[in-house]
Amino acid sequence: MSRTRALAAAATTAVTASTVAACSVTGTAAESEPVTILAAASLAGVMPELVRASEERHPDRDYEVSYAGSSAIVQQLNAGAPADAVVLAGETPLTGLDSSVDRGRVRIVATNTLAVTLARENPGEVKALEDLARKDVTVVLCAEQVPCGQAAQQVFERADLAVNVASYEPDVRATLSKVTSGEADAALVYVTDAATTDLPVLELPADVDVRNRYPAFSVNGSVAGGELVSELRSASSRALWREAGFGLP
Amino acid sequence: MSEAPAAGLTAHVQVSRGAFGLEARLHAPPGSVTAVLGPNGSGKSTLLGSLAGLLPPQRGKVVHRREHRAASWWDDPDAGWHLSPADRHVGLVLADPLLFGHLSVADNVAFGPRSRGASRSQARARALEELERVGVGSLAESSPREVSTGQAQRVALARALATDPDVLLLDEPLSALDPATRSHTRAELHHRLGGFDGVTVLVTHDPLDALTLADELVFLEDGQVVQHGSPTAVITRPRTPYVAGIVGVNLLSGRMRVGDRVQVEVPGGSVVTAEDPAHSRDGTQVWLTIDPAAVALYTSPPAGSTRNVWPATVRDVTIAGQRARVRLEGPVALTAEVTTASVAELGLVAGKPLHAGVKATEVVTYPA
Amino acid sequence: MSPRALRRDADPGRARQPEAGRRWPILVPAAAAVALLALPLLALLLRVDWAGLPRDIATPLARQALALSALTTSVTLVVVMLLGTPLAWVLARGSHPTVPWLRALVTVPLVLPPVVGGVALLAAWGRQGVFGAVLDDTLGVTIPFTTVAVIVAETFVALPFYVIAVEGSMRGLDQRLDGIAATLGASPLRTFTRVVIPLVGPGMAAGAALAWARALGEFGATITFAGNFPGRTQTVPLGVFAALEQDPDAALALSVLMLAVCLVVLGALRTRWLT
Repeated sequence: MSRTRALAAAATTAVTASTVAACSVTGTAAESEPVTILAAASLAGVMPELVRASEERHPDRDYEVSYAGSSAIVQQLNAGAPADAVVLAGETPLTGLDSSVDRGRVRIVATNTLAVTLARENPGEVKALEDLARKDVTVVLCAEQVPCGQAAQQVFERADLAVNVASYEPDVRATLSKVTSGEADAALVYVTDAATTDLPVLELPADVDVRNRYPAFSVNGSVAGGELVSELRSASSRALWREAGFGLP
Repeated sequence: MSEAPAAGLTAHVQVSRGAFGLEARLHAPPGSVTAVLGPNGSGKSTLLGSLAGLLPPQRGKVVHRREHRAASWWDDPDAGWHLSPADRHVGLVLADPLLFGHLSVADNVAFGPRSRGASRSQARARALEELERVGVGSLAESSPREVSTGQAQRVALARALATDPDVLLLDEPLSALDPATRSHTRAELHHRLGGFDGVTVLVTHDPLDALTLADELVFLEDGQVVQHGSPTAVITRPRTPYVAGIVGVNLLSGRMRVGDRVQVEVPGGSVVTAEDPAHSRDGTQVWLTIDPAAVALYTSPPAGSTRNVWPATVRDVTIAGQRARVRLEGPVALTAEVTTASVAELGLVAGKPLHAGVKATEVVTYPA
Repeated sequence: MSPRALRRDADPGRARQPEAGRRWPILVPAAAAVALLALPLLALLLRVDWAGLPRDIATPLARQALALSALTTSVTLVVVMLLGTPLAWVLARGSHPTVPWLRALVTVPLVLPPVVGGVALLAAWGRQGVFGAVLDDTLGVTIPFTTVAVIVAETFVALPFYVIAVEGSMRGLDQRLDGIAATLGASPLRTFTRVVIPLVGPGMAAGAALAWARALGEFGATITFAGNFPGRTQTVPLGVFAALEQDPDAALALSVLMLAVCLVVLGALRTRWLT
């Protein structure tokens, strides 16, 4: 009898202890807690550089970045994911942000345009944007709920092209990976993503290209988050943005 | 086999299964019933499996011929020939009925004819006919789960016979039944086999099956045939202790010594027989049987005409009705059969010392 | 304690019913387990907009995903049963030393993370894949991004469920039945179809249900290998994933529908085959 009692006591202690530990990780980040940044997938290349600059200014802060499609980030915020700052790849997903989310002022920190990344040795023999409408070319795009996907749809509308899409990927990195792995012949991605590979790139004519604006904001009144958003617009940050291929607001 | 084989089943099989080896020959004419007996592990089921085509022999030849037809080769390993069970037209009944659980009794019996191309109605008619012949016609629409083991075994027999097999193979068909059902089913089997013109090979360890159902007995021990013959021949002249045990006689083996009398030297002593010295040859190796009822027991050595007397102690006593079988230990170990009254009179308990006597005229000898 | 109470406690011959209070070390974790499973499903039912359900199910995304899943899981089930039943027979009856290794191989997709399965399928059948490259060069056929790829991915993950369930059933069959059927004149194929399959029917049904449910729920391998295109490769799980970001109400509605389908199928089978 005492054995079962001891077991029950141990179980209860374990449950209580873990609940207490979980509860201690609450919304507002204390100075000893990491600064959580949710960033769009297309920022995976440039964000580490930008964050390092902020880390040098605030040595006591620990920055953690996680990347996902912009619409996925909005869903995570709506569900209560803890965050200090958010940077999205387009303004449209903002409309999906629930009013219950405590959002700071929105600042535009960068812009981006699209380009076509081609698979190694261009198996689809794509020489111009119109070639993407050919049936024998395998094209992948971002899903329409992410900014990159919306921009791609706009590009094809402006160019008046009907493209046979093979797959809509959840974010721009997944889209790019289909071309780097050779499964697809071409993908419409951001110029910044196209620049990360050594694959052939087809630039878009200026009259069809679309420019996305990248909004950033702090969450839950985070001081560290708000400071990061401002720092993303500093002169040194602008140099980093430009170097990575982004446009400036 | 250079000339055409005789009608019936002629088999010489040599099968190795791991460390065990079987070598057996038999010939069974159409309409006959051959019983294969032997202790556990002697190879009876291996032999049957081989005849069924489920265990191809490594060496040997198996051939079957119907009356007035050409021979059909079943196994010729040297020529690389093996006929599948389906093409052999054999019927197989095992110790467990193994009816197909998802089919009714009638559909079970009809399975064979259907597999061989009969129409649904033809097969069904055949099935009902066979079920009647084994006495379970009323169970035709029952499910195998609903019938008793004895009834299921009869259905299994009907199922095997419904394909008109040339050879019927039965592997201890009555062993899973309780004694009362066993006698009843044995009677049904006897009746049914009487009406079957093919060859029947029946594997059993029950002497009653062998003696009542079979025309020919084959004894296997350690994968070898040690004796075969008609039931009468075997009963009167058993050639191994196992066989003797089956038919219930004492069996000894020894060398004949011919002088004014004929004696047989057995381990432990010598036995005086009533054989004629003129017709016996000294030095012949012989078998010697003594009916247990001819073994008389005495508390003190008897006087009189009994020529063979040996000291013995009682090993154990088994009572069966009015008779008792007494197993003895001693220089010449015998089993005696006495009346139950004698058990009491002589005080026959294990370890009791006494004398066993056998008249010379009760000793039967024959060449080994 | 009074002497009378002491004596009653000390009587060994008298069976004591444990009071409900003493059973709580068992009941509390059990209740927690039930809550863990039931609460999310209950919450689904509470969160969904019941009034808008018919409209949400009728959106193009939902309709296409449902139709596609219905098609692919049906085809997958047929393939799984046609290929899996003989394989189960080989595993159940085979005596070759490779059989245990075969069985281990069949179990691998069960424990492999589905997205890893997708990567493996790409490595084999992708355009740059070991066999896919050959297919592309010689026949101009590519499998990724097609409905066939969805079926391949679903079969890859569902086949082991079926094979293992059916093998278990087949092992329970007496081996001597095959011999009896053979002597009665049945060819090996006839023995298999007329004796073995009817007798393992319940096992096959249970295995088929498991395999179908697994195929229906497959996500990681599908999205990696087949991609995501409405009507062609966007099965219900992929549709729910996309809807989460596009149209959360549709996501909820589809989820509730999936839950209902699973409950109906499992409930129907439980009464007939799984008990």
